[in-house]
Amino acid sequence: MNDRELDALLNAAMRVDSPNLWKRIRPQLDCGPSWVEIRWACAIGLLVLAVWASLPSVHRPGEENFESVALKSRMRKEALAATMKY
Amino acid sequence: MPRSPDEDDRRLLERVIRQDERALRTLVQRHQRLLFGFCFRVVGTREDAEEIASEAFIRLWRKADAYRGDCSVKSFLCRIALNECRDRLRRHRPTMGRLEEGEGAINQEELIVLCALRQLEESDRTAIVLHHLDGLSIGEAAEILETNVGALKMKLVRARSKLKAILEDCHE
Repeated sequence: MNDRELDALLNAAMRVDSPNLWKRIRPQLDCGPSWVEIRWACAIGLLVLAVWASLPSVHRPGEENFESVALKSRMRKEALAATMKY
Repeated sequence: MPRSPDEDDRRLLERVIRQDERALRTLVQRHQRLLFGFCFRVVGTREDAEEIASEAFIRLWRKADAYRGDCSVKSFLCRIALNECRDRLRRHRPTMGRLEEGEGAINQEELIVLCALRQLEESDRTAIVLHHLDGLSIGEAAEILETNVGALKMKLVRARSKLKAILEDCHE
């Protein structure tokens, strides 16, 4: 084998295909979520909020309870104030 | 005036020092092919090569400020990878995984060359891989191997003649 044949063989030996190393590297960088991940999380959060806000305001047991607790508290205060008067 | 690829790399590295993840990603995209190919030809298995090349980028991320600017960023990365390859070869002597077409090697010529390379000493193999297969200039390869151009030329001549002898044996 002469030099030219060796060069031809080396030239014909193609470059190997590389896998995508970023997928392997990224989780090992210890630098928290990426901007892309943060943006996705925000987008999903906003979407959920928008869907919730657009729901028709029907019977919401939590709110009713809150109102009734507030009412009872007010009534208690008024009763207490009335008692204190006498 | 357009910047040279090396200038671009240096700017990216400055951003990597400031922990800019996107800059590292760009560096990975630019050099992963070279680094993986180099590691694959030196250590001989795809899994090891993938691990070593990834590790080189992670080290760059953690210790980018160790870069002194005495060589190109590409050479700096190759040096990190080469040290890791040598450690690995020292720890478990070349298992040199089974070679199959389609598994890293692309064509018959690549397969023949890889088989022959595996029979060379590590330092000869590294010199041939860097200059002849990864296409780096003698200057760049010398930078990575931390030697001078004259010494590397001599090494390449000797390594080539050993490789020729191995390939001739294969043909017989």
